[in-house]
Amino acid sequence: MKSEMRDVLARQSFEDKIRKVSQLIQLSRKMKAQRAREDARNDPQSIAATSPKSSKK
Amino acid sequence: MSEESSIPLADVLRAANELVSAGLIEDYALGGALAAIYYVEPFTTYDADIIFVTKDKTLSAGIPAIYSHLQSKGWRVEREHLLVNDFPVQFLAASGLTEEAVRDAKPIEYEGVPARIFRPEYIIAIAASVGRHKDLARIEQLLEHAKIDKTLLDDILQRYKLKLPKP
Repeated sequence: MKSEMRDVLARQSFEDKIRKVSQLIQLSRKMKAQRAREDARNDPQSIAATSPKSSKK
Repeated sequence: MSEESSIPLADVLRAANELVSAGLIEDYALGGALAAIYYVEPFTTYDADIIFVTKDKTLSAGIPAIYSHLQSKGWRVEREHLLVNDFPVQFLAASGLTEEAVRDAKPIEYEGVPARIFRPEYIIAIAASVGRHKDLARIEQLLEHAKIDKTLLDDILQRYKLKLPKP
């Protein structure tokens, strides 16, 4: 990110910055969940291996 | 923190003010990443650090009383964090450099709640004393984007025998 842009963001009110941090956290959670779904689709065995139903009796 | 909600910082600061009013702590300030964000551009962080000066100087430093007060207000405990609206908050007893940082903290108002926040010179000094990668990045950010009182920073670094990383 360009230094001037970072300066503009740094000058925002604290309340606005905290709202942006909240959005960043939510985005990060969504991306993690999406990645987990994609991993499960690409490698269904990894889910089956960890599923209680797959355990041998 | 629930999916739709934002960081409940006003609730955190209100609770810290209540701890002072209730006589459970002497003073406090917001530290850590959220304090740095006050001075630089926003970045992701997953908790809030409240650094407090204890009234009780014993080993337990009044922490059980703090936990019990906040739990009575609906906060939950999860490992080393207290959770308000699922957002983790760490209450850390101040000593030495961090105690000085609390005592010299900057008064602010957040959503109408009066609070205190570490000055950037102290955030830099504390980051230099911890020295993880993220602390070094924080120092760089603050030096670049915050207004720093160089005399104060040099004085703190000298008194606590700390050095800034070389750029």
